[in-house]
Amino acid sequence: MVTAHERCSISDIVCHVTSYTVFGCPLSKLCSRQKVSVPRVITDCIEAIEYRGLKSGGIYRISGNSASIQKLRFKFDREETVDLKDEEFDINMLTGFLKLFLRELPEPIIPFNQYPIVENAINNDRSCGHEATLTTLKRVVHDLPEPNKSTFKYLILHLVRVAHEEENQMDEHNLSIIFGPSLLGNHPDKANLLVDLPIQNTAIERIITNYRTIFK
Amino acid sequence: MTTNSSKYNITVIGAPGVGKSAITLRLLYQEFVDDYEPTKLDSYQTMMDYQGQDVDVQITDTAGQEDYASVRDTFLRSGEGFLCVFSLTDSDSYSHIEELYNQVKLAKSMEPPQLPFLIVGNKSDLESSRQTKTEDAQRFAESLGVKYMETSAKNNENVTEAFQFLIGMLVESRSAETAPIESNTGKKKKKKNGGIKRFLCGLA
Repeated sequence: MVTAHERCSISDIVCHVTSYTVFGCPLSKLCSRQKVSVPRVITDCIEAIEYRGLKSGGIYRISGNSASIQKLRFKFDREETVDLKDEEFDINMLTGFLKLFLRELPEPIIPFNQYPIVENAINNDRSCGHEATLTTLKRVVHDLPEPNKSTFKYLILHLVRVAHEEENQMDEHNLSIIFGPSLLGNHPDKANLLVDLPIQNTAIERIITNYRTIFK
Repeated sequence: MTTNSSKYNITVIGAPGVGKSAITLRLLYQEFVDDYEPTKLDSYQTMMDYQGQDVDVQITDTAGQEDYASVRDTFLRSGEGFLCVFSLTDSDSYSHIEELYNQVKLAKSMEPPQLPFLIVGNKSDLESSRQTKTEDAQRFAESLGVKYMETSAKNNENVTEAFQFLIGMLVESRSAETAPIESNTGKKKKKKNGGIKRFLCGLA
């Protein structure tokens, strides 16, 4: 059976006519086709979310209407023009939509091969110190392939702004619980979510909190 | 009256931010914990009274986030009774109930009335922001063949009752299981294994 991702990587023409052009498409394919450094679905979504304002309580935590999110997904996959700033899309739907895109990536923005490095750094955090962990995280981010690096930076800087709004109750810690698994996943063959979760959360929280050092 | 020494599990499920942890912590500590940290997975042991009998209960409080779906699926299989929560002030969370119900039905290969499943509309204290009518939720629950209750973790309304209801179903079904006449019912019920316990410790 040909999966969506395989189909997507066979050729852009094939990819274009199936309904998997955006969701489930590898980041590099998507960016090179759209000729952008950050996929349009992410920039459109974040622009619309910031346009609405980041004060909404439980932003990124509260789930939007799943049927509406799926409908929107099909529109993006068919590359229809959608104005996400339109009032029909509420904030929880937009954040849910963005999270869905991240979950559907065949590989997280921080690729599987980097996971053991991050895991090791977090596990040795106590013995080696916070500074050493930050140095490793910084190197991992620095070494990311291009579309991943730009996309990750774009996303994290947005999350920094979200965490900055006290009213929404979503601080760095809470955001890291939401984004940990989708930004920094372990390889499915080795994954044990219950062991991986605290590592993912800690790493993402450190990155959001120390974004200045990480992206310097 | 003898003490029932075997453990019953209640798994609390529902969309994010509906008050799963608030309900659980209200039951356990008799207080309203107004903490905004999303849950990954928490497990608690407690004793509950059921018709004068001490019952040992394990409560599994799950994550509402879709990103944690794989963890949740594991616990749907090991769960026995399901407290399925939505927020009366968030109609999107209400729209998730049917999907969760289908997942539980599939994971347990069981249907009502045997399936210990209770739909709970939480935050009944926020009446002015209510988005789901009692009658609608009631009718919907009936259509699935399950019970419906409204709770307020904040004002301590119906929280104990909701857990009691599920405990009642679990105790009854287990005693029916051990009764010689109905020896065939619920034969597939899995014994809890050590693996689950270890998993839980891993996350703590």
